[in-house]
Amino acid sequence: MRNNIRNVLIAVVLMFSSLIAYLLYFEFFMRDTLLASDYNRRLWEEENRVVRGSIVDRNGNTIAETVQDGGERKRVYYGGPAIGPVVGYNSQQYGRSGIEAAYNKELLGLETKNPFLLFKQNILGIKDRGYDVILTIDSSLQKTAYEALDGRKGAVVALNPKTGEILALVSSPGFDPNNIEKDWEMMKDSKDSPLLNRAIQGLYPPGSVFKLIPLSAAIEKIGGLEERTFKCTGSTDVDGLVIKDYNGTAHGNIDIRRAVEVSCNATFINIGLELGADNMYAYSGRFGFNKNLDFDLPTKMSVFPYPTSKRELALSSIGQADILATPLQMALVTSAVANGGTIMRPYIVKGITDSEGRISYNRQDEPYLSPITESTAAKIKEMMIGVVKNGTGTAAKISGVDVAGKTGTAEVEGKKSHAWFVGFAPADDPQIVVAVIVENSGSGGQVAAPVAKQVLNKYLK
Amino acid sequence: MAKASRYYRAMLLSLYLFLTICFSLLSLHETPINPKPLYMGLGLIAIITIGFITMRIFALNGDAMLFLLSNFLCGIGLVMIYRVNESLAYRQFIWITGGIATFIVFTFLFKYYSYVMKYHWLFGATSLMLLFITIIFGREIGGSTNWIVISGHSFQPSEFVKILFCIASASFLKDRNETKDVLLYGSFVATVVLLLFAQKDLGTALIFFMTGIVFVYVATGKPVYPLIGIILLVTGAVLSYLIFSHVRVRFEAWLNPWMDVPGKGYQIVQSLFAIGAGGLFGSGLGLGHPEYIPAVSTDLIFSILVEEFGLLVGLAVIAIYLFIFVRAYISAMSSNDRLKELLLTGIASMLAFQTFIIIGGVTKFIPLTGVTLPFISYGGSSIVTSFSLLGIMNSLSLEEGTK
Repeated sequence: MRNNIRNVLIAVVLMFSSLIAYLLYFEFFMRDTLLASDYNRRLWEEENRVVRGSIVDRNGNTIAETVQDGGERKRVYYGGPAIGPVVGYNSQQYGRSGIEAAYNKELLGLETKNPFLLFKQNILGIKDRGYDVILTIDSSLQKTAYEALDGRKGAVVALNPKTGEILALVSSPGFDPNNIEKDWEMMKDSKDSPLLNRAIQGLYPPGSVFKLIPLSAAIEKIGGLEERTFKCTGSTDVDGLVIKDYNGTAHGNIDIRRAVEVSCNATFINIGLELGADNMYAYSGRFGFNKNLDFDLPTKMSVFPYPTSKRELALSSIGQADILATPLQMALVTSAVANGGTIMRPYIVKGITDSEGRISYNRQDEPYLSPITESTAAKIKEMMIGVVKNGTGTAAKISGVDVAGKTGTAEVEGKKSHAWFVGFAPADDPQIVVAVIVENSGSGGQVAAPVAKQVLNKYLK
Repeated sequence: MAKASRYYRAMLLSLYLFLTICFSLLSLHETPINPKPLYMGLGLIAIITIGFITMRIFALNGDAMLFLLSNFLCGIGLVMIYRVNESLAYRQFIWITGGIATFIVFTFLFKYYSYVMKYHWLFGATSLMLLFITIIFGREIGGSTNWIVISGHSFQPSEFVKILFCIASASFLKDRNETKDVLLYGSFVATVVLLLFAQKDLGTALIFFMTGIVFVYVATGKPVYPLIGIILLVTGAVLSYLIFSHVRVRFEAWLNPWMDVPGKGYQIVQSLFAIGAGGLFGSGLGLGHPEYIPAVSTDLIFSILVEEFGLLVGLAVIAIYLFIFVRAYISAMSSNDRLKELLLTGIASMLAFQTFIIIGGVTKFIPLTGVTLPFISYGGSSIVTSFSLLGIMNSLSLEEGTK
C-alpha cells in the first residue's frame, strides 16, 4: 500500500512539475508575441501611459510623431498618402497597420526595462516615452515615386542592392493616416483598395520581367548559349497553343542578347522548353519564389507553380502561366543581377533609438540568397544595359548614366496589360534597384519605364 | 518540539507581515487613504490567531503547516478579492472565518474517525441524492446547472459531496479489494460523474473521476484499474466531444482560442493576456486590469494573481499547494492504518486534481473547465469544503499520543 501511495505522489508531483515547466516556457518563449496581440486591451492602456515613439526616415525627417494638443495627445503623420501604406495607422477603433503595427511594441517601449528605472519613473510621475523607429525610406524619393504613378493603381519598390535597404516602397492609391477615422468606411470597400500595400502584398503576373530567371538558368545550364541563333516568326505553336510575340512582331534570326533587348517570346519559349520544368522551378526558388520572406512588414509569398505540361512550361518561361510575384520580389530578382549574384536581405527598419537618442537596435546587412554566379550576373547586366540603350526600355534612359533594365507587359484576361519595369543604375556601380508596376495600363516600355526613370533620376541627382 | 514550534511562530509572523503589507497597500492605493482594507487585514490576522490558539488549547495542532499554508492561500486570495470587488471581500471574510471554524471542528471530529466512518452507505447515498436534487432544482449560473438557491442564498452541493465522497470511498474500500467490490464502487463513481456531467460541470466531474481512480488504485494496488480509467476517460472525452457542443466549444477554445477571440476564446485569451502582462515580478498590487478578466474572483483568480504579484509568486503558490499535498501523502505512507491511508491519499489527490485542473486551465496547459482554486477563489461552498477536507487531513496527521 505504501508503494501505491508513493506512485500517486509521484504522479501528482509530475503533474505539477510539468505545469511549472510549461509556465516557465510560456514566460520566456510565448509571452512577447502574446502581449503584442491587437486583442490585448492592455496595450491601449499603455498607449495612455506612454508617449508613443516617432517614426523617422533615413535622413531624420519625421514621418509620424505624437504631439501634445492641449490636454490631448495626438498622432500626427507627415508625407500624406505617398507613405501612408508603409507607416500605417494607429487607431483605437480600427487597430493598426504598417510600421505602426509591426513595431508597436518598440514604439511603446514595451521591451523589458530596468525595473528600478521603471519604479523611479512611477514614483516621480515621469511620463514614459517609447522608442523611435528609424526607417531606411527616403521620404523625398518616396514622394517622387508616388507622384510619378500619378494616381494610377500600381507600386514602386526602390532598394539599395548592396545593403538591402528599402529606399522607397510605394503603393498607389495610398491613404493619409491622419484621416483614417474619417475615411475608413469609404476606403474599406473601395475598389482601389488603398489599404492594401501593393508593393509587398499585391500579387501580379510578372510577364517579361520574369524572363531574367530563365535567362539566368539558360546561361548557367545551356552550353554555348551566347553563340546560338534563335528564329522568331512572331508566334510559336506549343502543342496547339499559339503564343504570339508582342504585337505579333517577327524578330527574325537573333542571338540571346538581342532576344533580351526586344523581349522576344519565341526565344524564351525555346529556352524554357530546353531547360525543362525542373530547372525552371529550381531557379525560381533560388531567386525567392515559393519562399516566405522574413521582412519587417507582412508580405505575400510569390509563387511559381511547378509546370505540369509543355504548354504551362512555355507560358512560365515568359512569366505568364500562373506565376504571381510581388513588386518587392521582382526588385529582389533584379538586385541579384545588380549585386554580382547575391540578393541582400531587404529591410525597412534601420534602427531603434530610445528617448535619449541611444541606439538600442541597429540593423546589420546580411546576404539573403545567392541564386547566380558573379559572371552570370555580369552577362545579364550587359544585356539589360542593351534593353535601355536600344531595346524595349529606351524610355528609362538617363543622359550621362548607364541604366540597366527589363520591361514587362503582363497580359491580364479581359483587361489591359500590367506595365512592368525593373532596373538599376548606374550600371557599373549600382546604387539603386527599382521595380515598377502600373496596373492595366499598357506596355512596360511606354508606361512603367518613364516612372522608373523619374525615380532613378531623383535618387542619382 | 520546541524547535518546531519556534519555526511555526516565525511562519505565523511572516504571514502577519505579508497580510499587513498587502492590506496597507490596498489602503494607500486609494485617495483619500481608505483605512477599511487595513481593518480587514487586521481582522483576518485576529481570526487566524484565534484559530491557532484554539487549536493549541485543545491540542489539535496536527500538522500546523497545513493550517499556516492554507491561511496564507486564503490571505492572498482575500487580498485579490478585495482589490477586485470590495463587497465580495466582506462575504469572503465571513466564509474564511467559517472555514477556519470548520477546519477546527473537522480536526476534532476526525479524532474519532473510526466511528464516523461506519456509515459509508449513508454517505454514498447522500452524495447521489444531493447531486440528483441539484439536477432537478438546480439553477444555471455561469454555464453550469450546479447551484441550489434557497431563499436568496446559493450554494454548490457538488462541493459538499466532495467530503461525503471521500469518506464513503475510503470506508467502503477499507476492507474490500475484490473485483466485484471495485465494480460496485466503480458504478458509484460513474453515477456521480454522470450526474455532474448532466449539470455541465465538466471540471468537477473530472475531479471525481480521477479521485475515484486514485482510491481504487491505492486500495487494490493493481495498475490495470488506472489503465482502464484512462481508457474510459479518453473514450468518454472523444464521445462527448462528438456529441455535446459545449464540450466541443471548450476543446476548440483550448486548441486555438485565436479563432474566435470575442466569443469562444474570450476567457482563455483574457487570462493569458493577464498572466503575460504580469511577467516575473507582476505589475504590482492594484496596477493590473482585473476588469478585463471574466470570472476574475472565482475561476480565473490565478490569472489576476499572476498579473499583479508576478509569475514568481504564482509559482510559489503552486509550490505551496504541492507542499501541502506531498505532506499528506507522506503522512499517509507513514501510517499503518488502511482507512487513514486511503482517506489521506484520496483527499490530497482530490484537492491536487482540482488545483491542477484550474491552474492548468487558466494557463492553457489543458482545456479550461471552470472549478474553483481551493482556498483562494471566492465562494462559500468552496472555502468551507476545502477547509473541511484539510481538517480531516490535519486530524489524521495528529500525533499518535494526542489522540
